[in-house]
Amino acid sequence: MARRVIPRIWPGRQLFYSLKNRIILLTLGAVFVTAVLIAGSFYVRISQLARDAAVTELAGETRLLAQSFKTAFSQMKHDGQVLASTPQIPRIIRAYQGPYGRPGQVAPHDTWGPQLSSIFQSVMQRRAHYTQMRLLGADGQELVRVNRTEDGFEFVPAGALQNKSAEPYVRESIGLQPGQIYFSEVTYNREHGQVEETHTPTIRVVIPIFSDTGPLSALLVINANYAHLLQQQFDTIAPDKQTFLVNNLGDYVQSTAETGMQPFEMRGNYSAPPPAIVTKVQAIEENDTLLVGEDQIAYFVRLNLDASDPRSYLGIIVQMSKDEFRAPAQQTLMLSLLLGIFFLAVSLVISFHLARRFMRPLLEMTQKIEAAKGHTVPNNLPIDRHDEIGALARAFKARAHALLDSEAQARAILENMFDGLVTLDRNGVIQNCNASCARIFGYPEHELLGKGIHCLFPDFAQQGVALQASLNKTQRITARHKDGRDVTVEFSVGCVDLGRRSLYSCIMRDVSEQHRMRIALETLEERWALALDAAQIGVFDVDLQTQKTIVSDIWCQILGLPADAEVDAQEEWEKRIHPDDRDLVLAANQACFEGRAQSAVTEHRLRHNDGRWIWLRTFGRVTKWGENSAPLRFVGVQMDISGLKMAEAALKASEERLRMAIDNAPIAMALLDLEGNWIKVNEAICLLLGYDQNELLRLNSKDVTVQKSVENNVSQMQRLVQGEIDTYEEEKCYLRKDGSSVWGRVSVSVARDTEGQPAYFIKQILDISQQRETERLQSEFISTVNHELRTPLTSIQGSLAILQAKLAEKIDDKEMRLLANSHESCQRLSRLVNDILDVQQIRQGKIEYNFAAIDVCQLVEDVVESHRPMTDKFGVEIETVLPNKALPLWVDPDRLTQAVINVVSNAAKFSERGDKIILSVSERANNSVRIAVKDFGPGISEAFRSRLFSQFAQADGSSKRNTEGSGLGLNITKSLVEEMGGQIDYETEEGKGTTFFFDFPIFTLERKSA
Amino acid sequence: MARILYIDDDNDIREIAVMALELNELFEVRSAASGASGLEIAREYTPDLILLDVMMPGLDGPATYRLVKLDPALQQTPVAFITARTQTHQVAELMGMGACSVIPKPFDPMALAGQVESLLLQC
Repeated sequence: MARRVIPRIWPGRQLFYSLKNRIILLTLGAVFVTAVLIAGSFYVRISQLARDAAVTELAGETRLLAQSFKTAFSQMKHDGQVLASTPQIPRIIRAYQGPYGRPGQVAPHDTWGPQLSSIFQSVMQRRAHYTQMRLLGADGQELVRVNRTEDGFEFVPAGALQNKSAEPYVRESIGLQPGQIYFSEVTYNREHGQVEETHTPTIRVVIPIFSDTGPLSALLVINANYAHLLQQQFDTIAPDKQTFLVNNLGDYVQSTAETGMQPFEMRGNYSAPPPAIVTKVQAIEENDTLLVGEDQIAYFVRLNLDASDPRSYLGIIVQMSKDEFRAPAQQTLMLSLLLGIFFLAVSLVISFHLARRFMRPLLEMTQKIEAAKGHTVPNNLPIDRHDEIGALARAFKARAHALLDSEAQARAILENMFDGLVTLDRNGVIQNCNASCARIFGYPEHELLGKGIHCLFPDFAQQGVALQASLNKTQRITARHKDGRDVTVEFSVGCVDLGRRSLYSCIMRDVSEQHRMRIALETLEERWALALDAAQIGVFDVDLQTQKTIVSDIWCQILGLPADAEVDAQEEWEKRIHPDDRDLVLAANQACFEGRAQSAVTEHRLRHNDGRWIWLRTFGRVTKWGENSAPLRFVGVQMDISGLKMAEAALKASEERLRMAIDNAPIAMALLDLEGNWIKVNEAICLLLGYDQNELLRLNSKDVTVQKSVENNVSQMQRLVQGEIDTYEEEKCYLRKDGSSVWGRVSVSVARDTEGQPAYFIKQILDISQQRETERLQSEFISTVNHELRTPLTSIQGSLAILQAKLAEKIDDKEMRLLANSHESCQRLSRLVNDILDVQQIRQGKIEYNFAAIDVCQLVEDVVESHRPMTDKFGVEIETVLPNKALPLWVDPDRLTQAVINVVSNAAKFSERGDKIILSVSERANNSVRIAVKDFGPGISEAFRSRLFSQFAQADGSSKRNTEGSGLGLNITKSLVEEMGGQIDYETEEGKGTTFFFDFPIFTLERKSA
Repeated sequence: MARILYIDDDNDIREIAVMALELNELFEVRSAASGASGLEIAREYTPDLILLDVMMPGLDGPATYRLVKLDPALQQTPVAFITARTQTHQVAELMGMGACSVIPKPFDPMALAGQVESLLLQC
């Protein structure tokens, strides 16, 4: 498509692009051209007319002159002829010839001579240019001659007459025939053979006079002053132009209006070189000729004066300069130019006015269009006008609407297109972009506008060069997202030539995901190759049409073949397949080829190159099908599973041993599949559940389980299956065949196949019905003790307390001491019962701990304060050593209090009255807190130390003090401390005292969550 | 005077408890040997506080408590359980029913009146 190129505009040209200016200029141009054409044509025409007129005038003047000269010559001729017939002449001639009889004798002048002279003079008087007239005898002797003098005429006396026979004209005239006349050449007049000093150019006309008998008798000669003759003609005609008279001998004279007639120029005696035209006409034969020179034109008329001598002529040339006849044309031209300028000025004014008038609506429409904002069409366009502007406005409006629609569509397409689009100027500055750009690069549109493309493509340092180099190519490059990450895009650039500028349009498609996927795919392929290599998996590819098989290097390695060996894999396979496995493999492959199986999976043996059999597992699949479902390509993998087969064999042997072990085990054992179906049971479990083996193998584990007892074991089983734990135990209640139930402690583990997948569960069930019964009885006992012992104790203790309070002042001290002893014993019994219950509960794990974060110092202070009566009773003083900051512990405060009281009470019991007990709390280096109770009692004997924390342990009776107690306190204390995450220990020295201490970790939020 | 109703099937305990409570002269104490009789007495006596044993034949403590709370005349009356079942979950269970306190058995007779006085102020 041809591109419309709008060149850069220089200011002067800008002027020309204005339509108004163009109209004005074109109008002026048209007027100018018209004026020039008219003036030119007029000028040419007038020049032609002037030339024609000049030629006519020249011809007329020339001919007129010619006629005048011809008349003058004719007059001379006529005068001669008339004079020749004068009667005096024959008489003179006879006189000259007659009586004297001797030729050359001049006749006497007495009679006829004067008469003839008078005639001659009368003629000469009328003809001013006649200078002489003479009558010559046939021998050339002057017979009569009259000369013109300055003051009249001279009748030359006979003695002065000359013989003119030597004169050329006389010689020329001797031969004249009757009727002929002779005009001589123009020569200077000669007298007596000498040229007169006056240098009068003279022409002579000679009329021969014949006698009656025939011979020439005389010659009548008229001499005329040629110059005078000519001057007469000029004076008559009065030509105002340059005029030449020239004869065939080259003599000439010229006359101009300014200078008049110039001196006669005789050939051979030219005073100056003759004008070119004088020479030129010598060659002209025609009588009338127009001569056109560079600067002049001339008209030449050739006048033949002597009919007997065609060579002689008189030429008349009238010449005028071209400027002379061009002058009217020049004037006309000047006038035309002035008129043209006038018309140009008028046209300028009119065209300016009209152009402005015509352009105004256009300018107004342009301003309205320019003032229209955004993507709108101005409403006030002059669409109602009926002229071309109205048509333009309507067309513009329709076109603008169409363009807006088109633009809206294009914009919608651009905005909704998946690809990003930016337009750039030639410097790479972003002019426009669509929404996809914002999505791809993370910049809002307004942020991108005006920025260089390098903000998206940092590699485009030389943007213009890079864009130019990228033109019409699609390339994959890395861009920069606003958040700094790299974005891979497919990038193509096109150039839009808008005439005065070019725009680059860049289309970008975010292919980061594709790029990542491609890299991932390549990585995957590489990984697959590595995996196949590492896993020693061979690959084969069979073209089923040509039976040509391609195998990988690993396949050769598996068979012990050199990797670079050229082997026919099909032939190798046929040669090496185990005969027992061949049909199996072929059948599997055939099923696959016929579409009955999706893939052919076989395990078979091939003979290794070293001669041993190896097991291979083959997985093959038809990957290409032809017409009529004919398989074309069979691709698969093979791996050496010899090791696996050996492992399987070992596993089978192991399973066999396991089965035997199970069968013979005294404990109930069973194997269950993953759905819980019994798959192997031994005799012991049959006895336990009351079924025989066959009955049990038809059942599921759930069929013989009291479901209520197994609610919480699902997660344990899942963990076992997932390999998180190796085994777990649970207590389950089974339903026997006879309807009774039996409790068993079940140990569950899982057996896995060679691939590590769970194959079946192994269950061992220990009959714990008896144990359960015992526990139940124990629980009942505890409950009974709790209620049946405590209730009367409460009653007794309460009664005694009230009695003590109410009878305090009514009975004597002895009675009061009995009452106090009873109350004390009752309290001891109550504590013993409590201790026994605690021990039972600890043993059964039924003690509940209500953990909380507490300040151990506060707890210790509370204990000391609340149990001061107890220490007072033993007469000991408690000293507390506490840090001056709170130390948090995560314990059950009641149970820790119980533990502290236990050791404090022990310390008090083993102290002498007046001793003190030091109860201290200290922070340890290992982020723990130590609660220590130090007494200064007898210490713990070496023998007792090993039983110190046992139940019912009491120091031997050698102690001086009555150390009443159940012997359960330290046992309970140890259990409580350890259950709450602490440790208990002691330091003792016999005779010096004992320190019991608990170490607890300091509480932190991390420990709480742990 | 604050009216206290003590309900317990154990006669000895009930008697000791009444005596212990009466150590505070501001208390007027009545007792019942079962949940059913306790409810009857309560409707007539409108006590300020009911002390209720948990383990009783027939209507046990929790059942009696529910009936007290269903009775429009008594449902505003605070109830404290008194029991030997003092394990944490057991106490929590009783408190969860809405009891204002749980007093463990064996109680200290000399301290019982003080405990009850505190309860009357709290509940």
